[in-house]
Amino acid sequence: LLIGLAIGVILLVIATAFPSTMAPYLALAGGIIAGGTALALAKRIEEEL
Amino acid sequence: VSGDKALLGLTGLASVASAYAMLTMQLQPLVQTFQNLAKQIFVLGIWIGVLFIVSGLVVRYIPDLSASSPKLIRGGAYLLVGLAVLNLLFSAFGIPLMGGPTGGTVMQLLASSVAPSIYASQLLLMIIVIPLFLGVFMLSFGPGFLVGYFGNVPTLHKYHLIVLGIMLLMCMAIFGTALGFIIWMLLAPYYLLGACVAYMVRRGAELA
Repeated sequence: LLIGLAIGVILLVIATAFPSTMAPYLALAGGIIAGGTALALAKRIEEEL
Repeated sequence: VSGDKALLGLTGLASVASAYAMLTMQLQPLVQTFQNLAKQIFVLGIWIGVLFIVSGLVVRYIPDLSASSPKLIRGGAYLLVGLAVLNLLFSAFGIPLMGGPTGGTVMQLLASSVAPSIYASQLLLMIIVIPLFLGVFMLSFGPGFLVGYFGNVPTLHKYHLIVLGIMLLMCMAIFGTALGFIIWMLLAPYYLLGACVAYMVRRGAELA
């Protein structure tokens, strides 16, 4: 999950640091991957707690 | 009478349209400034989302604050997904908030503030900004790790807040309020990452 989160954040960094026509799609992919993995992480942490 | 009303309505509509056209011509620079500002806020929003997630992962290991960890992570996740979808919607209407030819990014803002031409700013980005970025990574990761590793656990979150507060003040003093805040937003996740690694090392040592 942490690897997924890292991939999502890297995509977001690429989308913000290198503007292009692909940037909105990269940002969407990064946002969904990072957001989805973060939600899964939150659920797992909640179960652990 | 109905013809008069229609004429009155058309005249009103025409005057509103011409006033709008005049205003947009007059306010074009202002609109551009607001659009650029919106882009900066959007990029900041993305970083705030990432910061929330990283903070959530860190506070998981702080005894007093561990219960708020999933809330922080969820908040960051919703912020990221929401902003990414919003960005796509805006770009579909021709106003990309992130990316696009005039998309102001934090790194470009840093480079273009000191470099006159686009080529020079690209070069500057490679020569100065990236090593600077790596340098501040160490400068913020290091303190986070040290405070996390050697701090007193029950009151640790107070130390982190104090150190992050000092970092914010220093950034604002060195780079000015707005740019200082942007740079602090870039530094804070690395600080928290350092603290997170320190907790993992500490916990690992305790378990062993």
